[in-house]
Amino acid sequence: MTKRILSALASVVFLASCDLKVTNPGPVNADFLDAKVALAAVVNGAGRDLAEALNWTVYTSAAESREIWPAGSTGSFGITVNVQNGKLTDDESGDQWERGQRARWTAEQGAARIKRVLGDAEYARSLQAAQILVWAGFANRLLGENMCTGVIDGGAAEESKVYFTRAEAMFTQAMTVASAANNTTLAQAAQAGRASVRLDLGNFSGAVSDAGTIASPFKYQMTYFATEQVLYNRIYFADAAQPYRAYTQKWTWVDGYRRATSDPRTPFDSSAAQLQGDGAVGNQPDGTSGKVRWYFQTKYTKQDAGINLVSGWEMRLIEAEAKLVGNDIAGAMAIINARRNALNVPLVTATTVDAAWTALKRERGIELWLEARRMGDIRRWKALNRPGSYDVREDVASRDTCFPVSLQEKQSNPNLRP
Amino acid sequence: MHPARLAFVARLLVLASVLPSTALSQATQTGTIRGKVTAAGGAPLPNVQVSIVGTRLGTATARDGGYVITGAPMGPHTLRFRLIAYTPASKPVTVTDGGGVTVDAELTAAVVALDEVVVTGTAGSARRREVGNSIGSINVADNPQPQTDFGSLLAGKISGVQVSGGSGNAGAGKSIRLRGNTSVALSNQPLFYVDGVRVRSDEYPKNVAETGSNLRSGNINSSPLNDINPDDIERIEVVKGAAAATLYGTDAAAGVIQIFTKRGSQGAPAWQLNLTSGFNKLQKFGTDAAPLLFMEPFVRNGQSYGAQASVSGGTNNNVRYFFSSGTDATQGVLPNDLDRKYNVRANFDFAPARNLLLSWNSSYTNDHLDNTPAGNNAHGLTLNAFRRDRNYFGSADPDTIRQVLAYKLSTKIDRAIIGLTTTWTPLAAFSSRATIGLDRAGVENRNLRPYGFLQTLGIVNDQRWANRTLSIDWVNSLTHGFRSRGLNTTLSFGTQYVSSEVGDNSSYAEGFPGPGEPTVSSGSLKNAFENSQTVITGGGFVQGLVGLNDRYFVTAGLRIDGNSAFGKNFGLQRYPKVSASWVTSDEQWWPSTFGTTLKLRAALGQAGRAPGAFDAVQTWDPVGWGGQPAFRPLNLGSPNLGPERTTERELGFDLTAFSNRMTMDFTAFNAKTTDALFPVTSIPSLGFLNSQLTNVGTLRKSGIELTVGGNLLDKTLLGINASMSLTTNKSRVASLGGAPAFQIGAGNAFAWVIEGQQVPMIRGRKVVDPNALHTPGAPLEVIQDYNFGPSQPTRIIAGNLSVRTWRHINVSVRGEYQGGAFISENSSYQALSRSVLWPTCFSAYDNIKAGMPITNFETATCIQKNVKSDMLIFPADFFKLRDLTVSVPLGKLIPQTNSTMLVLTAQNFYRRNYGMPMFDPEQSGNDGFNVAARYISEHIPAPAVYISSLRISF
Repeated sequence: MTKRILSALASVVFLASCDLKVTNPGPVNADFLDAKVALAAVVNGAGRDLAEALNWTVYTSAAESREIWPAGSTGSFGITVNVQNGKLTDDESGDQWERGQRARWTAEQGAARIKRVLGDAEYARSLQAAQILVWAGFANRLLGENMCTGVIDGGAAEESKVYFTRAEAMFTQAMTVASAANNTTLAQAAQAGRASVRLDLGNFSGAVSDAGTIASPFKYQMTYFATEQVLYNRIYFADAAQPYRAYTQKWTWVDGYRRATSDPRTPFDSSAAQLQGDGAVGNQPDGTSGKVRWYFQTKYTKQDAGINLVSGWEMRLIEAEAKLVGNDIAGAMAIINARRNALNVPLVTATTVDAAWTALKRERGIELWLEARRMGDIRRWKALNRPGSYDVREDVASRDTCFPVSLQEKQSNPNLRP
Repeated sequence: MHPARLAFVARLLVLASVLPSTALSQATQTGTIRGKVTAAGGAPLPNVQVSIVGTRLGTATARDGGYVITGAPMGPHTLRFRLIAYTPASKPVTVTDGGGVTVDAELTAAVVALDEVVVTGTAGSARRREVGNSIGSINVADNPQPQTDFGSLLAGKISGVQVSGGSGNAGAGKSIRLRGNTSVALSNQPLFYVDGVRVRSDEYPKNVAETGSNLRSGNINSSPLNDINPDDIERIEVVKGAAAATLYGTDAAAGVIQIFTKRGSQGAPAWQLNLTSGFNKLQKFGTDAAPLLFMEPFVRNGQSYGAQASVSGGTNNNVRYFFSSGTDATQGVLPNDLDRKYNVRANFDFAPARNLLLSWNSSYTNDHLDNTPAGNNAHGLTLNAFRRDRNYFGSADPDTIRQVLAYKLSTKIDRAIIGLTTTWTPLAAFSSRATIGLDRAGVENRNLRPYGFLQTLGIVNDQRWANRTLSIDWVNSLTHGFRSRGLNTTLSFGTQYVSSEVGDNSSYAEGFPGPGEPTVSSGSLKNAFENSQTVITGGGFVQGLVGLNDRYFVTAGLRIDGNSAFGKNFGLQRYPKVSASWVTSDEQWWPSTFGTTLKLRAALGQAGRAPGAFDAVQTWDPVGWGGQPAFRPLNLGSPNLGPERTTERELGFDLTAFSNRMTMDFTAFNAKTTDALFPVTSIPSLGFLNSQLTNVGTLRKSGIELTVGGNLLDKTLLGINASMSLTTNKSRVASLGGAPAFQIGAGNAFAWVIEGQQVPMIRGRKVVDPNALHTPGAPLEVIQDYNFGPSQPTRIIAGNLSVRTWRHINVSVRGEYQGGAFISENSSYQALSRSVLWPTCFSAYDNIKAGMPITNFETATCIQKNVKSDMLIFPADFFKLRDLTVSVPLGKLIPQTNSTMLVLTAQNFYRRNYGMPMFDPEQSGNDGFNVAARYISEHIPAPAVYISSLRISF
């Protein structure tokens, strides 16, 4: 009897120690990524992260800088009450801050991983390396132009300029690697990207030098896809007729400008079937609250419409701005009007520095409309006390121009805690 | 089957075979004992366990109460009669060689009988007097009320048990909490067992497209518990916390509920037919001016019909059976809502030898749900009706809004639960019970917006989801008595193994070429998704029980567990327990006045809660990007991740007086969860955005549970029974382990985990002096980050009154009050922030128009620019009449039948809110019923249910 009990007890212990190890499919162990075959997915992952970061930042920054006017719900694809009122708060900036930081981290870490896996020599001519460095550059530029504060890899707060410095380094490296990989498009995208961040850094000669190598028709876009809603072009989908009509061009400077000029760079339309946005909005310029007439943008007309990361026409405006900095009004206006002339849009004239800067500010607003660039421009010009004025409907004086550090970063990053 | 599991099963079988069968020497001189067991009043009692003390001989009574034991050894013996919910009885008997002797017995019903046998939380089975912790139980078969779902069975019936959630959508599930929340990061739904088989209790997946908004659905989660046919349930046992659930180990910190289904009795087949019909009616949940919040054109009184048939019996003294089959069709109050359910059950008991009993349990349920799109769903009926002309159509016209009804949501559920239990008693002092069980749930969610739906080309998503839980439970008990010293000991040991596999395949398509019923193949763009994960828990336990003089009992036990979700640096976990009980009323000095019995009890024990399958490992998510492969950071991982551990203390007593006519039980509990798993926020600038479960916190909760019941009057023409229970529960975050306060659940719930506060705390903006008139132009005084109170009720009071009148017509009423909780009412915010003319502001609008002042709260909420999402937080206190039931015995009114009973019942037909102006504080939000903190979204509450039932026995 005792033997039986003892054998049963022994079995208990035996059974309790049986193998409980399970390998579940789906998510991949981090170690598996350190292989050549995984690198393409690492690069694409960084691209997807940047696409999402850009998607969220384009939309909210457009609302904040009055490129669009709220017309719909505050949830889902809507514009929050704070943003409607021009305030970017830490509890509402998570989508932009966190996605932007992830895009930067995955691209920078991805580049380091590629180098580790391929070795220095192969890395130096790797197309995958060139691509992820381009993503890293644009991710840093997105953060620099839209975030108030620099935070790198859980470090302490610093000036947001740090993103531009990193972007410049990434673009420089990308240019070299892309050239070695014989990929002209990536090399040009990197150089155009470097031009734009050099403008942000105040390095006008460097910016103009880079910009001069880029032809006007060149453009390098972030791609979007109609395969999943999270991959849709968000600013298109938020304003699609079903179900959201979350914003409008009513009450924006685009409304009057487009009607006056038919500038194809700021297209919008209206619908006889859907006259109004999908929600009520308060504090409208005419003093009313309620539904808003729905004018929907048509710059992006489908779910997979790409968004410019950089373009040759932006390069021309960098050159124009550099000329204005050098007080060459005529030179700047000539560049601006060359583009307008080509588009058959009324030309602008400016004989004073003030008017010329006003024209340049407007022209960048038109050229880079709905590309997550406006807040960065306004902040840069404000910081440098550039002359000229803005359209009153942009309400530049009272609206925030950058996203604060998100609440999640503040709470989790020990270097940011008071 | 996985090789490791096969090996495990093989070991079990080998072990069973090597334990040698001990054939007891048969007495050469034997006799027969027969008799009949009845209840007080003479009604026969089936299924009474009749045994000869000191032998393995015994049987169960047949339906007529009769029993026969053959082969009884010659000489004097004691016969023991035991039946759950009855006070056991013993009778002397002397068997003569070859002779027969008749021994009849009468058992007395007892609400809390100290010798009642319970099995949940104990090793094998135990008498209540031996158990040091509280165990709640319900004898469902004794309740006359027709039950619509499992949640209704429990609501307001056991102290410490809270049932809430549900919505007006057909098939919506309800959450069950035992002593409130135990975890902030993991499911707080208790473990569930059906006839010893572990079954799923967490919700089924929501019927939602894999791509797109998570809100595009019926916005409800149905519950696996709704698949269990209430008519099949005999009894439910509830152990509420770690002190009692230690032997269940790593997953049991939130408590355990065990369901026992009906079984057959010896005798001829007995048939039971139960026919039900009734309707559901949406009760007022708005204001007097808008009682149904503009839903009037859309809702209906949903009809319901059901038929259940069962047959039970037993043959040859060694086979018993119970079969049941039924169907129910219930229309919801929303226009597309329909729930059709079919179920069958077959339970067998077979004793191939005197010392071996095989019990087979099997059930199958097929449930087909059609739902109306609802919730915070831009294509939903409720949202578009609530928001009037500010909805997604820009129109309050009902015909315009009805376009969303073309949105088809259907759910098909197949659920099978099977189990085989062998009980082997080779010696009178030793028994071994092994249960192997399988719970398989398959769900097909189909989510279709057809071609032309709101001028689109259509979208379809078809999800095939399945959960398979395999459980093996082996328990051995060895008893030994030292009669001279009055000492009895029981040593129990055993193992448990639970493997849970959950996975789904979803296919998605959009853009159909034309009208017609599409498949996923019909779409111009298609996507496919797959998820799969397995979690295994394996463990063993040992427990010792020492009893002295049948009134002092001490139990000590230890459970050792491993789990596949633990981090690689984490080994086996040990959960100890100890408990004691003292049947004080058995002491010689105890006065016999008033027929009082008293048991004092105390228990201390631990149980755990395991993290999820992927929480311990750093992983990247293969997400794809426009047709290209892509990885992105997913989970940071922690090699030190382990279960959270709850240590609970219980003190209490069970008291009966006036010869069991009055009962009282009281429990005070105090629980501390250490290594609590918190979703610690990752640092976004380090790339991983998802929070990481980490064992960092400490939570505490404490409370009391008091139930008092009694038979107030027991005359021939009038009987009155009443009971009342009180539950309190206060929780506190004792430590966040250095982490900052964080939010859990949906953002709109505003539920926070804050050091020193209750778990979770509802935090938001409080309008100061809300009812005072606001001075126009003056700033509105608002306190931000105000801690309103917990999301879980801190006090629950339930009462039941049952009156038996002429011809045994019985009228019973049951009510429940819950108080102390707060809830975010987000539906009003969503409307008010869109300037919807909202019923709570109608008087404010009139006053503004008339130039009259309005209150501070009206200023904050009725003027669009002032309203903030965290401003509409209200007390969730309410009282509900859970049911009012009239049962009328009709005797043999119907020819060829034994008896007929007519039962009329109304459930949840009266509610009063204390603080929240609209909606039902119990209703679920968009995230289903099983979330850490609910909030009110664009749903309608669960309707009142009116049912008539005719129960025919023949």
